[in-house]
Amino acid sequence: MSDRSVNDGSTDDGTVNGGTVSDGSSNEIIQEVTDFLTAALRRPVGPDDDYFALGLADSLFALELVTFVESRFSLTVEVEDLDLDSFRTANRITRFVQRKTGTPEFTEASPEFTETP
Amino acid sequence: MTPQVAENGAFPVAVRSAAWYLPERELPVPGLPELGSLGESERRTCLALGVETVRADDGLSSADLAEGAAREALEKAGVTARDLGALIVVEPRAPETLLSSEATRLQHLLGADQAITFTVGGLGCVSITPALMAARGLMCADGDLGDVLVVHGSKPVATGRYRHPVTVNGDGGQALLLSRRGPVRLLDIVQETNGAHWDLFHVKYRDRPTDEWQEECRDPSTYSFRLAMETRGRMSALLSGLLERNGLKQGDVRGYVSQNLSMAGFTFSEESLGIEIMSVCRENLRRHGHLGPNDVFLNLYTAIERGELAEGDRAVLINVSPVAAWSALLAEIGPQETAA
Repeated sequence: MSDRSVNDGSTDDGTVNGGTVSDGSSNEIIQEVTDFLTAALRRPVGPDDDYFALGLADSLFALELVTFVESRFSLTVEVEDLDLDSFRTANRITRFVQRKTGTPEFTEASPEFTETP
Repeated sequence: MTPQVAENGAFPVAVRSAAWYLPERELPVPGLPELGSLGESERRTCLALGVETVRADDGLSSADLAEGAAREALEKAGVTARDLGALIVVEPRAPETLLSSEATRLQHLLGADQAITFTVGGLGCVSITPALMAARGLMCADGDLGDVLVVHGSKPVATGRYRHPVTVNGDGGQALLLSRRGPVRLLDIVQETNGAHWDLFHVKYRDRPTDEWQEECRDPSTYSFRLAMETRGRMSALLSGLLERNGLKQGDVRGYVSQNLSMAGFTFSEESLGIEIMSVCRENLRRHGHLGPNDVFLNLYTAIERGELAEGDRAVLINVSPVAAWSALLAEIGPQETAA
């Protein structure tokens, strides 16, 4: 399991944020995912960009994306996890990663990431 | 005669002879008539599939293609159609007429009067797998049954040959003459299906003229994500299970061949399964496009002809259909001089 998936209530710099992972942790996941997406799709990708709806995704991209999420966040995407809504945007992937790794939902400190699918 | 059943319960059959019938006319993909009516994105996708040409002849029906291949396979083996124990027709994508029988049509064309004759299908390009299973079952059930001929004529349903975003369909017939002994032994077969995707790809026809028939994907995102990732899991499990129950490891397999859909499709199979697809697959894709249920054996025999598979080698034939269906077949190459 990666460092970011450990729910010890502290941020990477060691600060504690009310017993939950700080918004910095969520933001770091989002940043990593958007960086990956931007590189894989060869164009800037925002946290709420739906690259499937934009017609940018094919099977090879899906494989790269799921493989990246599995290896980077040390989790396994099972058949029952294959809901496209969990993978449409960087924000949704972040929520999926947090759900799979047991880290809490987005904190109030990052309202831009509190929307639900 | 008592059937010889292997320790793992499998009943091996062999391909005694195989033949393909491809129309002479070659159609360059950039010249496909439907390209002009496609949007820019679809057109780009079509041209990036890696299919350069397909064989196409609108004057040849699916039955014509199957018949041409069947006659050559029988001739190669020195077998007459009258001696066949069974004739199994892998159903055409669309019958020439409704209510009639494409299977007995071929029986009549070939003169396979004594053959148990029927059609198998429903799984797209994976339909070759249940056809082989049916043949194996017949041969296992009746030790006196003569050879079984499995045939298919592959033609697209619609006027257009491009199936967005998957492949370009070519024309071609295939015939496999199955026997208890032969130069290519089919050691084991596994197959799975998921009915949730039964109409992911479809052609609507009841309310429109034939020139408006079109291969459509109900949900491209389901195809490129859900089905793709399900394929990764299903095929990995099928492959490992197939090898394990035959006491083999991945290194015991000399080559993997798959159906020919696109260059990206081969890469997907390689990356998702951790295998290398034999180069003949990419070459056949470039030259012939997708030939449905005929792809995997065409690829296998191309590799054998080129000496890339030799006596004693084992190969695995991987087939995936967006229906959705998955299958893996373990084959062993024997001495090729016994083919005739």
